Amino acid sequence: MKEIKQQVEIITDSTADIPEETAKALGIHVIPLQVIFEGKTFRDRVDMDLATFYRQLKESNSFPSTSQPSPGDFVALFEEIKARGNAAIAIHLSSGISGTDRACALAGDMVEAFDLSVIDSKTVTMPLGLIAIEAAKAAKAGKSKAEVVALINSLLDKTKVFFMVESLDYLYKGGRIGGAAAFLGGLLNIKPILTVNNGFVDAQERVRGHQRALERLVTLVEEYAPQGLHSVGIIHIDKAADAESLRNIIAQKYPGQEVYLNNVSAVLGSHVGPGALGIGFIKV
Amino acid sequence: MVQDKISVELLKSMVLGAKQNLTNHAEEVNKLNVFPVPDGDTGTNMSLTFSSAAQELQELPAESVEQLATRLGKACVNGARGNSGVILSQLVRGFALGVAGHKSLDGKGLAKGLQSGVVTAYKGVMKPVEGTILTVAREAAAAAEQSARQGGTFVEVLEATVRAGNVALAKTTEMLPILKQVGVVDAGGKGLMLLYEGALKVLKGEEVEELAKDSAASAMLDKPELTDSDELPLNIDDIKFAYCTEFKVRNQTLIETPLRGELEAMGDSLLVVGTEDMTKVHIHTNNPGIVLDKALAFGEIYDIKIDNMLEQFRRLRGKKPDPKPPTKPLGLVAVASGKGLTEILKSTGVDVVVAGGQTSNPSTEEIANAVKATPAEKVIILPNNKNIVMAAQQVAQVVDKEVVVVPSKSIPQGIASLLAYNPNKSIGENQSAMEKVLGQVITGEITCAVRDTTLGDKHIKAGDLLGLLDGQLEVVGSKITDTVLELLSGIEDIEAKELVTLYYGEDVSENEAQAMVAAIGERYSWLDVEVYAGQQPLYYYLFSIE
Repeated sequence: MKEIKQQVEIITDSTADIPEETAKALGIHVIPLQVIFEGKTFRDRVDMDLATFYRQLKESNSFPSTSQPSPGDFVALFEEIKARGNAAIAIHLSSGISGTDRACALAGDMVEAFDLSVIDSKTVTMPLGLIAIEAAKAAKAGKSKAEVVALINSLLDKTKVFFMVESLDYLYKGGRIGGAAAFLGGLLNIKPILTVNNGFVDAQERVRGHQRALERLVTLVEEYAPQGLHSVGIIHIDKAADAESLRNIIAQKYPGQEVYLNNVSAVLGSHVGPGALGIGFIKV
Repeated sequence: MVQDKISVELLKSMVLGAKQNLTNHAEEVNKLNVFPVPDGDTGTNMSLTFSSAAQELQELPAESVEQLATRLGKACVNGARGNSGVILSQLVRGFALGVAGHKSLDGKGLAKGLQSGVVTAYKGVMKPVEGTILTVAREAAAAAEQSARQGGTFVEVLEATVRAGNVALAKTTEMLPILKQVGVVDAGGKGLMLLYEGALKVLKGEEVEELAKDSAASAMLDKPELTDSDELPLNIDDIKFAYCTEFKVRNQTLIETPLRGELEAMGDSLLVVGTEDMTKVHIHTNNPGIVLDKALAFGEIYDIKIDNMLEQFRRLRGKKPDPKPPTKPLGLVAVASGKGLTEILKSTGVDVVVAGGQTSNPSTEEIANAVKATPAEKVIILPNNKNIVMAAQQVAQVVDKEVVVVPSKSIPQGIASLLAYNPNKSIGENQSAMEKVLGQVITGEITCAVRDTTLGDKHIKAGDLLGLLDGQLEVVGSKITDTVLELLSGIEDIEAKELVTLYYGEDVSENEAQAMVAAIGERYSWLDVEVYAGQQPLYYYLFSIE
């Protein structure tokens, strides 16, 4: 009798910013969070295309609000995975920024006899996506659930993201500004560079001028990953040209390194605003 | 044996004589400043430093030489302005330490005090430069010590001090290349010698006439609400006579004596000074009406001013920055002149901005007050001017809070270091991060020469435009736009630079500033140019290039 080894499936959410083809190829399940904008609710990356959303965001005077995925979306996915006889590991954005990981765990309890581990990544966007990618690769290679969980936990401390925003207003209005509140205001054309520390948005430093901010993003990566990069990705909102040029610079500095590139989710985008641009990575 | 002890009274007169001598010649000292820029006048700074201290001496009686010197030292430290003012204050403070335990002073005591002053001053300067006030003080003190060892009297010791000091002063021209270039002696050293000479004059019975208005007093006169603050005591209960009353009488004959007789019982601080046709009266009284009535008997009264000192006390003491309870671990204090620059600094995270004041150099006390008014446990200070760095460093001696000075030498340097500031990090981490970026910007300054001078091959006339890069005079010109462009052209590897930030002063209009931006953009198309209204006095433009 053929012994069917239990497979591990990887679940994350729309804020992971994994490029669609990569997610499909690796079989990563992406649960959408929700955006409420101008009276309408839509699922991130599913119900509205990002370009349209950001255009409307720029033209509007109101700020969107965001919320966790609906429990129903989780349950439906869990039932599917369970039907296949598989277990699941869900890695979600920081619990300091969203209640998604708790909603996921609650939904998991609602499905009987479902083997689910939920992990709080304490980060968001590309670093979250990169972890999900590594987990999915390991799962595909036949690693057990315990092994994949151990892998994920070993990577959590090695992730980092540095990003710049056009304006701190979105973070402020959305209540996620965290330590970056120190950088509010200023009559000069100052670009704040932010990061995520301990699951919250935090201030990294300030730079004058757009060009210097871009350069600083790169040197920050070099400073934080002196031994090199395990994986890396660029995320942006409406900054395709800058994102591309950053990707080229990183590719030059780390030859042979695959550099992912994607738009930021509408959920995160509602909190950082158009013009945001960042580099997320797992260091060696 | 000659009675050789100098009493407190005599010492006090000597201090006042020293003060007056320096004040009389402050302009002369200002002219010795190598760069003919409008601010940072050594003479005025030293005069203000010493005057504010001497002022305090007049009000509080001292019982011993030690007490007098200690009070003088403390007041000088608080009132210290400019680097020379700070070194002077350390010389005085050290003097006080050296005469500890003395009720009166003889030759040996004087030499000990002077020597102690030198030791303290050298300790207070991180990188002592020879050919400055330090050298003059040191050689003067050495001569004093020698004279005292040989049994010199107080007068002999002081004479030796003055002689040796002047010799050392003359030598400073050869000791510093920049002094040699212009052919002058060190301004700070000259200021110190004026103090010693003034003291010696009084000792020898000569009078030091008031040839120039006491700059501290005249500075106070510029601020009407503070005119009488020097008359206010520390405690409201000490005000026995509430109304400070001043007026003039148009009299026909000398009336001083009879008028004084009429007014003596009406209050205190009575001053009646007059000529045959005019008499000036000043009195603190509880019945100003009766005082005026009595004066009317002598002639018409005019220029009448009556102030309620109780009200002033409530208003002024209330205005003094009250120490605020800390609401956060770390705060920032910066120095700036100009409404626009102040706003920019505040918006970028500075808690309290200290105004530069008359010479653009605030005193240690003024910066200390700002530190006390900052609601933080620890404070970082940005002096934004190389002539304010020392006064800022001295603040640690007069406040309880932990303070750290990031030695920014210009507003652009200060702003650059502000960007490296992170309130979530420790004071030490911030200090290194902020100091690291100071050298990353080049500072440009455009101002007007305040006097004629020759610097190397540059002949400067008063009114010429001066262009400085990082404190060095590079360009002398006649048109602002041309001077700025010429200054930029002197920057090495300007092709690698990316951003110019222009802060235009109060004498430049927005249109002119925009025209300047366009001119820069035309010649240096790859540079980003940002322009802000700094509204600073004296400097048409400040800019940073990075």
